Amino acid sequence: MGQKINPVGFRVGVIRDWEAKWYAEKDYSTLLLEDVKIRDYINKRLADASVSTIEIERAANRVNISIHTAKPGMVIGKGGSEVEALRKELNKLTGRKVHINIVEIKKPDLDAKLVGKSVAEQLEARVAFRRAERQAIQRTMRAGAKGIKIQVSGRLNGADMARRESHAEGTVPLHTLRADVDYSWEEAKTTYGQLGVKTWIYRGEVLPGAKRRPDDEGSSGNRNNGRNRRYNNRNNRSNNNRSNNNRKGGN
Amino acid sequence: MLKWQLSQLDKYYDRPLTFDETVSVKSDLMQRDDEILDATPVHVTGQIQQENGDWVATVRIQGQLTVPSTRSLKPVELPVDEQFSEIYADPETASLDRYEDTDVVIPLKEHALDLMPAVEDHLLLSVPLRVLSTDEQQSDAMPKGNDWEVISESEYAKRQQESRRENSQFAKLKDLLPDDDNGQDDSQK
Repeated sequence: MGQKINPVGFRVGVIRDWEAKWYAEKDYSTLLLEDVKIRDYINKRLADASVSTIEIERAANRVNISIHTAKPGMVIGKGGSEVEALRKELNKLTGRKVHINIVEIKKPDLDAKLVGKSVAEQLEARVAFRRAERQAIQRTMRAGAKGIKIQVSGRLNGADMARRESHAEGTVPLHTLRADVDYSWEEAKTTYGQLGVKTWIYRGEVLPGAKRRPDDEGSSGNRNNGRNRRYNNRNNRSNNNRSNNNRKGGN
Repeated sequence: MLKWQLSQLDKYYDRPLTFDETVSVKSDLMQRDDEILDATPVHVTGQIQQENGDWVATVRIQGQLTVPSTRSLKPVELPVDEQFSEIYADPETASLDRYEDTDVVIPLKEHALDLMPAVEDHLLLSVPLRVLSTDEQQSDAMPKGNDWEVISESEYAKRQQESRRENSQFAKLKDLLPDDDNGQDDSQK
């Protein structure tokens, strides 16, 4: 089997933005470690709150955390009690002033992490994996995706031997950098053991120059910035290589 | 209820078996998914037909689930009206290669066709990832507190753009390298 790059990492800086937005000349490692701790803490505490991405911005002694979720109600809790407690804990963890933005995801069916998580939760609730897969594919396509692929692996339906099954609809162009492909890997803990759920969702092409947040729709433009150049350069480089190879082949 | 032995179904080799029942699934659903607050009895109609030795079930389920709103956690009543078609095959005798990838083929267990798990599964699957009450769908009011707030994706994108514009520390660098507007890249120069 060929080794495959993570579709999200492949596109960072080209059509996707970073999830940590800060610059540090000193104490880079301390701040990086702090980011890891913040993400781990939030993911653990809000495991049931359908959290997709956590963006961290830093300015002076202040940390702005944006939690992208399909269920803001679960993050807030009754009367804001949960989020207040979370903010206090994060203040303690970082020793800085923390501001939390809870961003409500409008179309969760186009977010690979949320779709994968939902399939994993359904598998944990003993829903037949083929039904869960089919339902997720139908919903995502109906929400406007151009393609989706879901792969479930492990002891499917409690079979003695582990195997993997994948279903797809539409196209998922993994090698096209301007194709906005979202990817996630989730695990379902069932009585028969762990099942892995991999999800790829193709949400359409992003025009050169426009960056896209994972769950940001319709934010396309034609700004010609550095990232656009980087993308074009990659393309030019690959075109040049291809033409060179052709020339070599001709000789 | 909604379960037939294969010997019973064999009598319907030349005509479909139709059914129309109302079943209570509340306790099972609440046990399987703790987000379900309430469920009305479900009206299940449909037919089962024999095709090439396998059984094709076409089912319609109608009922109502109560789940918490994803924005405010207030109970929201969610009407369910789903239709599905599934193939039930005996894994020992049937050749499953003839079916398309998109077909849902369920292996028969204990020589019986049981539709109750299918009904429950589809009810659980019918709950969308985003549930809002009618009031919440119409209003854009989002909760806010001390050093936290809920915002929409469009509002977030707007703020990000503004902050990018405000951060003009590197604005002078913009003119350092001219854009490649002449259509030539470095390799051609």
